[in-house]
Parts: sequence; C-alpha cells; structure tokens
Amino acid sequence: MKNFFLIALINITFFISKVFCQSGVIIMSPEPGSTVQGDDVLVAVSLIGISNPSIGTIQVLLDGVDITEDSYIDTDLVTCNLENLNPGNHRIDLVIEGVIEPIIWDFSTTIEEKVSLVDFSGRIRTSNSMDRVDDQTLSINKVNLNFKGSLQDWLDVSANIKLTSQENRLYQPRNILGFSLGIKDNLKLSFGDSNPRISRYTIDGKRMRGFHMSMRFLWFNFELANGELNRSVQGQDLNNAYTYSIIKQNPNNPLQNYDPTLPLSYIGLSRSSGYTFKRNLTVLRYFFGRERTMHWGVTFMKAKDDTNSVVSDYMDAQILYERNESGDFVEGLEDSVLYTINQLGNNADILSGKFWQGSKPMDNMVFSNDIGLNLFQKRFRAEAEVALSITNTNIWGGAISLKDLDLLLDDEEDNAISGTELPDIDPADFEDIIILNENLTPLLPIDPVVAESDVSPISIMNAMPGLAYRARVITNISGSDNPLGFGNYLAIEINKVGSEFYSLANPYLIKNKKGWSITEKVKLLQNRLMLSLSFKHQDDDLLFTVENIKSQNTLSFGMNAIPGPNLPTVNFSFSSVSRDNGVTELTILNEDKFLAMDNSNPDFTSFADNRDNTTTSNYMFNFNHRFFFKWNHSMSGTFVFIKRSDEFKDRFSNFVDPSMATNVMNVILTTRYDSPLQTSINITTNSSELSTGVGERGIQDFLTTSFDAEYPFFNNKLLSNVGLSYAAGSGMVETSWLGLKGGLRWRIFDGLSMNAQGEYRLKETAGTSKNSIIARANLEYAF
Amino acid sequence: MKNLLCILFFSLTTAFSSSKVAVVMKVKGDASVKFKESNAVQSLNPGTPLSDQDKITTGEDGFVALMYIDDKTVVKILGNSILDILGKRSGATINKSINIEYGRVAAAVTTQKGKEFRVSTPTSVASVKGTTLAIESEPSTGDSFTLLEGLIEVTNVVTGESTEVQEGETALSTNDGSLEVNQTTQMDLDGFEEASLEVSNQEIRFEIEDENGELKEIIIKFQ
Repeated sequence: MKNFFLIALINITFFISKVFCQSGVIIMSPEPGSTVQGDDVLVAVSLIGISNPSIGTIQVLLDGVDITEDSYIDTDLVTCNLENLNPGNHRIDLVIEGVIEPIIWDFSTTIEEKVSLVDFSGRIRTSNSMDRVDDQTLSINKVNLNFKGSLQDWLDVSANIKLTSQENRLYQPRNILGFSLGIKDNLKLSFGDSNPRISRYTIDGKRMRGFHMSMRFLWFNFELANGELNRSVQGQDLNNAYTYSIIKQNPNNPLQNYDPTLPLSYIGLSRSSGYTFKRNLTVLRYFFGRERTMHWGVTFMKAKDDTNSVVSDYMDAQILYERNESGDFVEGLEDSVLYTINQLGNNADILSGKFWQGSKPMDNMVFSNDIGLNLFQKRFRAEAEVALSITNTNIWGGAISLKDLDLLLDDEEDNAISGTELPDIDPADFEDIIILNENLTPLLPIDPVVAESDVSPISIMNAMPGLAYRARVITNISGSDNPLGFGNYLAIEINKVGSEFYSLANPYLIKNKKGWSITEKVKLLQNRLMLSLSFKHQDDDLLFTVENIKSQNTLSFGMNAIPGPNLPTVNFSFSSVSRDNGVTELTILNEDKFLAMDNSNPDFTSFADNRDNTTTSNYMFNFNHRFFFKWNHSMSGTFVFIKRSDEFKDRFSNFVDPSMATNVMNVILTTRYDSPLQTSINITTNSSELSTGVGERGIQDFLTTSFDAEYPFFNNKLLSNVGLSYAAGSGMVETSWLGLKGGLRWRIFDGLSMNAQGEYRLKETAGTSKNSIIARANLEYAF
Repeated sequence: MKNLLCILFFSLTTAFSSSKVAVVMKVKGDASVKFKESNAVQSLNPGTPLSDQDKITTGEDGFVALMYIDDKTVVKILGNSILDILGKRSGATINKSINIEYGRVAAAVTTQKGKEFRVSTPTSVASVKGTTLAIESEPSTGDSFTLLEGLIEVTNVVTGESTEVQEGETALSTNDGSLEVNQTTQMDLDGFEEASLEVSNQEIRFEIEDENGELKEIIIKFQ
C-alpha cells in the first residue's frame, strides 16, 4: 500500500513537472487539460525563463499542423489566436531549438459557454449583543438579509432587510425593508427604505421610506424620490401628554375670540414635547449629459411636515389640577386632584397646534442647479452646485390671511405694511407650494444693506441667507503622463451655506459658513514618495451686519515615503490651526468701574473677556516596518504631539486658559510564528496638560497595554483568539482597568460561519470598583 | 488574414520596444492601449504583448484580462477604467505594479518571492504579496480594497496611515484621509461580476486501483 502511494506521488510530481515547468517555458494559455470555448482560443507561452532563445527556429504545431506563420514570436513570448476550433481534444507542440524536448500539452474545446438564466447570491446574518456596563444592560438582536439576483443579463433584483430588537414606535425606524429592481443601467426602482443621493444640497444619503426611481437613457436622465423622511411619533408618556394653562374669557373684548360653549374660565391644553411629525418628501431631478463626461442638472425638493400626523386628543391622559399663581381657577375643579381629559369635560379645551410646546411643523423647498465636467479621462474635473431654499419654520395655522398680514407690523388696517402697499395676492393661494406666514425664512432674499450697495456678484451671493453653493476644480496627472515622471494632484474648492439655508432632507449641513481650500499633492519616484500641502480657510463673514467674524485657517503639510519591499514606510504630517472669533478688545460691562480699576486687583464685574484667538500645532510621525527575526514581524510606531496656545498674553487671572499640550506614543508589534500562531502587543502612553478651572492647570497621564493572540485550528476552519488588556490613569483622575477577552470564529461549512466574542473588564476609579461585560455572537450564511 | 494583420501590427509596434512583461488574454468591448515606447494607441486584442508603463483604457462596456509572463499573475480591468502596467524585469522575474488612475480592477496575484506587487491609486498604495483582491478607485472619493484571499497592506497617501487587510475584509481609503477596515459585504463586490472573482481552483484527477481491487480517485487541487 505504502509503495503504491509512493509510486503515485512520483508519477504526479513527474506529471506536474512535465506539464508546467518544462525548460523554463511557462504555458499561459490555454491551461493544460482545460476546456475552453472553441470560437476564440489564445495560445500564449512565456519564454522568460529561457535565455536568448533563437526565435527563428521556434515552431508551433496545432494537432500536428504547423501554425508558426500565424503566430507572434519574440524572445519573451509566443502567442497565436485560433478561431473556430472544432469541439474536441487538441494538442499544441512547441519546438524550440536548444530545448531538448518539444513542449506538448492538450486542451479541449466546446461550442459555447453555458450561461445560466438566473443568477443570485445573498447573505443571512443573525447577530446578538449584550453590553453590561456597571448596572446598565443593553441587549440587541438583529437579523440581516441581503439578496441580489439577475435574470439573464438585463433584469436585476435586490433586497436589503434588517430586523432589530431596537425597533420601537417611540423612535424613527431602525428596521430596514428595502427592495430594488433594475433594468440594465437604464432604470432602477427602489421601494421601501433607501438612501438616495440626488444632490449635495437636497438629499445626499439620508434614509427615506418610499419610492425612488432613476431613469437613464443616453444623455437624458431623470430621478424621482417620494416618501417619508420621518414617521410620526406620538411621544413616550402619553399619560402626561399635556401641559395646561387657565384661560379667562371676556365676552366684551372684541379682540378676543369668545367661545360661548366654554365657561368663562377653562383649562387650555397643549401637547407637551416628545412628538415628531411625519415628514413627507418629494425630490425631482432632471439632468442632461453623463456624469463621467459632462452634465447639467436641476433638482427640486419639497419636504413638509404633516400636521395631522400627531394625534391631539388623548382622553385618558391626565393633568394634576392646581389654580395658577395669579389665583385664577376653574369652577367645579378641586386643587391637587388628578383629572383625566375625559373627566374635565367642558371645563377643558385642547388648543390648536400653534400653542403646543413641542417641535413645530415645517415646510421646506429647495431649488438646486449643478454642473459637472470631466475632461481628458478624468484628469481635469470641475463641478459646481448652487441651491436656494425657502422654509417655513412653523406652519401651524396655515397661510397668513390678508388681514393678519396687514396688521403684522402695525395696528392699522390700511392694506399696507409700514407704508408699503400689499400686493393683490392672497397667501392662501400658494399653500400647495409653500405656506406663507410670518415664520417664513428668509423673509428677505438678500441682506438689505448689501442690496443697496455697489458690491460684486460674489458679495451679493454671500449676503443671501437662503443660498448655498460649492465649486471645485481638480487636476489629477499621473506619473506616466509627464516626461518628468511625477504625479500631481491639485484641488481648489469654495463653498458657502447661508445662515437661513435649510434642507430638511440633509440635516447635516453646517449653516452660516463659507470657506475655500487648496490642496496640492506631488507623487515622486513612482508614488514611493508623496508630498502634500494644503490650506483651508473658513469664516462666517456672510452678512454685512456681522460685527465679529469668526474664522479658522488650517495649514497642513504631509510627507509619506513608501520605499519598497522589506523597507520601512515613514509618514510625517504637520498642521497648524488658527482660530479667531474676531473679538480683539475686552467687553466693558461697567465703564466707570473698569476705568477706575487697579489691574493688580481687577474688578471682574466690570468687564468680560470674550476674546478667542488660538493656534494649535499638530505633529504626527509614524513608521511601519515588516521584518524577519526568527519569525515574521510587523512593527508600527506613532508619535503625536499637539500644542494649543493662546495668542493673547494680557489675560486677567479670572480667564480660563485655553492652552493645552498633549502627546501620544504608540507601538504595536505583530508577530506571525512558524506555527499558525499570531500575537500582537500594543503599548500606548498619553500625557496631557490642560486648564482645569480659573488659574488652575492639571496633568493627566494614561498607559494602555494589550496582548492579543490568534490561533487557527482544523485548516483555518476554527480561529480562536484571546486577549488581555490593562490601562492605568494618574494625575487629575486615578483610574485603572483590567480586561480579558476571548472568542471563536468557526467556518462550519462553505458559506456558514459563526463568530462569538466576549470581554470582561474590571474598572477601578477613586477606590470604587465596577465591572462590565461585552458579548457578541453572530451566525452567517452566504449563498 | 486577421492573424497576419495582428502579427504585423504587434511586430511593428513592439519591434523597438522594451522587454515584455505581460500579455493580454481576454478582451471584451471597448479597450485600448497606449504603448509607452511608441506613444501609439491601438485597440487591444488577445495576445497583445505589454511592456512597462503601457497604459490601458477601457470604455463603459470594456473588459481586459492580462497575465504577467513570469508567474501568471492575472489582472482584470473592468469597464470605464484607466491604469498603467508597470514591470521591471530582473532576470526571469518581474517586479510588478499597477497604477490605477480610476476604475475597477481585480487581481489574482501569485506569491511574489521576496518581492511585492504594488497597487497605487491617487489616494492609496497597497503592497500585495500573493492574494486575490478587487480594487475600486475614484479620485474624487477614494478607494476600496476587497480581499478574497491572502493579506495586503494598504496605505492612505493623504495621512500615511497603514493597515493590514485580511481575507473577507474590505478597506476603505478616502481622499479626506480616513482608512477603515470592515467585513466585506456583497455591496463591496458590486460591479465586479465580469471579473469572476471566486478563487479559481484547477484540479488533476487520477484513478487508481488498490491491492483489494477498489477504485480510488486522487484529486489534486491547485491555483
């Protein structure tokens, strides 16, 4: 038996050596013994292992027929394209002078490749986590399903489903139910949850539940998104859904709306905070062109809260009745008694929404224009977007009436506001577009000071509070594009978001900011050395009425060297951030006291120091190196030093000094042993010095260490890991913790895997011990 | 006739060129090459030899598979991509790298003995020693490196931060300097269908008869 396997092994070795390693020749295509389509077969052989082959003597035979004339032959390669080979077995003979035996191999051809009609794949994952920190425990269970399939080559379907125990009617949805259908690249329909990215200033990735369609046909493209951004939430504690006030009616006061169905004194109920309106969204976008060459697009977005989505009547809700501080009371009700709304009957009235104390319903419209240009195969790229928004921050009560508009700024009914005659239009006529009332923002599209000034168009744009814009130009030249062999990347960007620009579908935009930046990166030595330099300026100099302009300048330099295999990579970066709030003088609260003040004994009630002008320097050095010393190691080290200093030196002793300094050192050594064992040691030290109050400074030091090890079993089917960590802090706060963790990743069979991880931490702070446990487990099946 | 023309063209364009480093194995759709030596641009065909710094461009429906001639390392270039093929000959081996300007690229890299296979993009540099991976690069946003097999080290060139990426993980390196590694999801391989990224095993089968007359089959799988 032993002999039998020995003979088999020798035969196999001989076979492999004959087939694949003949005389330095590498058979690239077709693979020996392989089956390929016969309509287009490439024969390719590398001669890189043969020194100076005599190419004039090379002969190529297909099934014994000389095809040398049809072949491309040079000192490195022999190739030949064979078309329409008959199905069946074929043989190639390659004869090279100086190589003792001809190189011979067989392959088979078939008529056509079988293309499956339906193709699909997906993944199901269940995960459970438990975090117990001190006395608090949080458990989360989740099931995720991702599915993707295609019918032939034209119809794509996909599903993205997540069900989690975090789903709660008191919050926005945590479950995800998303389905999509696509016809090639021309049409994509998404139903349920999706994250449309239509344009930066309308919707740019926020979750939406509804319908999203993207249609592309040549240079004509259209997108539509319709659904809800927020679902309605009625509030957590519906038993206490109301606050109340005692309202007194006077039937003789013509300015007061007297309600004869209510008593002269009654309870006015308003919904307390905690509710959220359903927010509906519609986005339409049309763009002409192709994003990878040039395009021009217009986008219209409308988002509006549904005021009927929050329920106003909770008859079982309760109030604890008390007469008010003025002594007002409602007849028939007893003090300090808990009444349900039902029990209050005619003594109470639920007020209309504009008197509610919680969030106000909004109405928002954004109109955006964008262009993009990609030239010279993306080496030059320019893009710009400008958007204008108009928003109503409180739409309770709907559009303002003409009479209320007339009386908005004065008590005279004269069809004019402050002498300006009102146009002959009724705001109610525009309710379907946007609700017009006193809460519209911006009320004026442009800063009136600027409107009357002779300033540049950019200044006018900057003075429009409802305007946002951005523009960016990038050139990106690779090393092979220029004779000097260096790559260059240059980007210049300007941007602004006005103080009253709203996009309810993109709540992450920072308002009231404008800025510009320039970034230059140079790549040398075939990208082995990279230098970067950038400058960024940002301020809030948007309105002429701003007295003190807050600004921030950031100058950065970076150097990365990646010299090559077996050599360390080195990185260095420096950045300087200057912040200035524009205040250069002390704010005088009492001039007499301030002028009479002795600086050695200051009167802190006479002034305030609101000046803020700091410079923060940030240095970072990092190296990574792989080396062999008994085993394979990877070592990385990082050093960071940050120093912030106050630019004003004439501070009084009551000022909290913003200056600080911190340094961080980190070393990680990862070792792969001859066995499959891998270990990692991580040591980090951190020392910070900072203000702890008026005239007080403190130092805090931290040491963090950890040791982790991984070991696979059963041919990597089972991967175990353990870890030990320790951290100690000293200085302002004395603390320490010890952690122990472990886990397993098990590939049960192809596609099915399980992962379980756990960690225990014992923490001690100022003599008090607490512990925390973290556990994670998931089961995953990919098909 | 077609073969003769191809041979003639290859011969003319490569007559004075430097040593070959790779050969085109498969072409679909719109794909072209700009030869570094001659600056000539031509459509790609199976069998086209490639030298150091030749630039390959694929159109929207384009696909190119090429193979390095020293160790059969395969690079697949998907639609709407541009990359430079780089390779320095050192005896019978080649120091390989690719410079992706943008697009999607998949590679099955044979273990590089004492060397590395470098992938550089406008945002990142990756060092590969033998692996199967998928790379998507877009200069205005950044890159993703998805590992199907093996180990690579990715460096974000904005910050210089490096990280190891293991099998089943995807590194996202963005042009604002962030570099993070996550478990690979199906979405990470969207758009790479043409590259058939499953690790391709080949096998040799032998049927043998043992002393009891029972037939056994030995299967040797290799890549």
